[in-house]
Amino acid sequence: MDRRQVIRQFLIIGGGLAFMPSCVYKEGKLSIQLHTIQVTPSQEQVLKELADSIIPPTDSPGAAELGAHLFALKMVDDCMLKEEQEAFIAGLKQLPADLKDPASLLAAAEKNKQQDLVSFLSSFRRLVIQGYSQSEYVMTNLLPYQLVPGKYYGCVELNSTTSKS
Amino acid sequence: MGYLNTKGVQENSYDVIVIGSGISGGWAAKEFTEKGLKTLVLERGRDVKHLKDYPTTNKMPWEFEHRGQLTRELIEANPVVSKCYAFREDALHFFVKDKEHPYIQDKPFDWIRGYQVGGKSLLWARQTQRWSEYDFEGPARDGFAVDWPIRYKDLAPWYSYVEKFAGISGNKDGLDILPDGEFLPAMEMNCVEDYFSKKMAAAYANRPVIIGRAAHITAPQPIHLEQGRAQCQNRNLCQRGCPFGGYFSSNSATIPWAMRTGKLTLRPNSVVDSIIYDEARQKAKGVRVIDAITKEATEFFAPVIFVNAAALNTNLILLNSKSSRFPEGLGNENGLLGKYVAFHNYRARVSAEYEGFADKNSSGGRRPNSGYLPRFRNVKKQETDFLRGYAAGFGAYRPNKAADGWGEELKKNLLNPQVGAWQVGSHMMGETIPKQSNQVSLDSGKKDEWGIPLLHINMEYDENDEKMVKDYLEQMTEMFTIAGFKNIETFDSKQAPGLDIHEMGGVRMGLDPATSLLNKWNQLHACKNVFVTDGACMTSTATQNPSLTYMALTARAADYAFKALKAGEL
Repeated sequence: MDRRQVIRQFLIIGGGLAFMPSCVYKEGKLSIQLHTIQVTPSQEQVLKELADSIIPPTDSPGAAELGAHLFALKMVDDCMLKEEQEAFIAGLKQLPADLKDPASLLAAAEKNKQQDLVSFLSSFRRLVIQGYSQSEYVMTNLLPYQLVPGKYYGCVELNSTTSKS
Repeated sequence: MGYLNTKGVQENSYDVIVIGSGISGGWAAKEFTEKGLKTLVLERGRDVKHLKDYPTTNKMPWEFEHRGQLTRELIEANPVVSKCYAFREDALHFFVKDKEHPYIQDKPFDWIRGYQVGGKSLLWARQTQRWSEYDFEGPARDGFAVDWPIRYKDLAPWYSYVEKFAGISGNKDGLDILPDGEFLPAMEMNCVEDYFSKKMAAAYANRPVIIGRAAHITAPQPIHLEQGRAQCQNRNLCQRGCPFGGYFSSNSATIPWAMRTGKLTLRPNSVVDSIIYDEARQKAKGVRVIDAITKEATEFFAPVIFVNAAALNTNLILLNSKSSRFPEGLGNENGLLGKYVAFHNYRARVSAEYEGFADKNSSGGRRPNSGYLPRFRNVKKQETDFLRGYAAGFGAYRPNKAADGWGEELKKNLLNPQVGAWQVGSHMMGETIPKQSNQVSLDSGKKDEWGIPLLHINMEYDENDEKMVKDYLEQMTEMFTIAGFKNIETFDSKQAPGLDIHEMGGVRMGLDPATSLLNKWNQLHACKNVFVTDGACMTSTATQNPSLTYMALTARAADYAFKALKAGEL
């Protein structure tokens, strides 16, 4: 490894630990490492709030607490095609500062033909749903996933079916 | 390039060498070691031990970074293998990546490979339907390829033999187009599959829809428990390797069985360059192996050699085994080696919805199987303007409705999923006609990193295949309409040959050495101590998933080879 780079990293880490209050430190850094898309820590914060307005905390955790917004970012970063990524980021930038409820936001974006915003909102909703539904918490506590389901019943009354994930 | 390792011939000598450890190589290993022969199995890939080397088998969905999905980077780097339905985040490690082993597509061909102990037996779809007399007599009746040198009666006892060990679930349906086997209890059909089956039985004389016969242990017998295998638990995560040994693979069944005899030497990372021909004694004397990692060359010797490298790689090895006697490849006196390769036509599918059975669903396990419609076209005589026909898969399921809304309403909907209408689907499995123009050959210059020539693949659909796609789509639409299914949609994926993963032929069996490479015992006509019992030996393709037939042919040929060896004939 490059010696200067090591020293620089050392100073940054050391400096961070020494002088920055923990909340400010978090502000300056994304919670996950991204490889292709550029997202700022404040945008991450916005996505976190948006995730909770899509699936809010109730008597059980909401999407943000289960990390669904970070899962969404990871999927955009690793799996989305370049064009889809660009639309996602462009749409993200068009989010209004005062985040109202996402349903009326999407309706307005559709009405105003803001393609990127529409694309962003629908992709993000889909990915937040996936991240939430396929989180360990939900698949363990709310809709338990059975790794070893055992017997298959071909034809049963609908109301007797067990929940399947 | 490495140097030749000149270990003593004695030290590197065996009774039998088996090239490949996939579904047919595993059977060769089992049969020979059980008969007490000192057997060397050469596998070009790494070792994969049952249970120990299934890293994802017990992972929960949330433990996969992308919940199973492929990354953009993986798809871009692997345009071929990423098309395979089973190449997903949980089974990536069992597939050959595009750049690792290049080949030359003279015409588009998606070559899906699994280079490891067990080969593709870890990844197969586990459908195990017997061939019938109508399939074996096909080429002779319809005047294509050459006549098979065997008939159903020759293979029937060997089907029974391999079925008992492998564990095949199914019903005794009493169909002459799809003979019954030694079955464990069948898996259940669901309400809509059963309904469709009854509707078709009423509407047509010869279109029985049955539950697929599948290599899953539905009720373990002593022979399965002895293998250390248990009942299938309907996880439907088979491509990860099964912790129960619920489905048949070389890894769970034949290889450990052979190992327990003490007669098996399993040598992973052993790339076979060629088979060595002894000009003086006029037979093969051994195999030249390049170590996959060190690239060192070593020779192994045996009086009997079984080639089970998977259809196209078996062609490659024989083509690359050149001698003064066989300058065009081992046993290739007639110039037909590598020619008349064929595959299954999997291009078309049909989907629809059904409004009935609204108050019913399936429940519990995720059944790793579906319904099956055997070939009904041109069975007893020629009826259509195309040769042969197709089998079809059929399945029904009831997915959850997409959750509507936002906020608390969405959350409530997600946590209380509502089932939607029944969805039904079918896909075709068409017989293709082997032709001389469909062939594989060696490149004259380009070699892989082990010094082995790259394989050219030159295969394409023909007019017969196009007509069959059209007929399948029409017939299945008619059948779905009769069943009252709605929103019927037809698809022709136009996918290239290869994605069916049923490539066959090139070293076909036949009666006449002038027009075939192998005799009725899977021996090379011109070099009797070399046997080919994988997909390369197939004279025609029929419509059935072929692995069961490779297993039966292998066990039969091994029995013959053993007796011939003892009689001093090899």
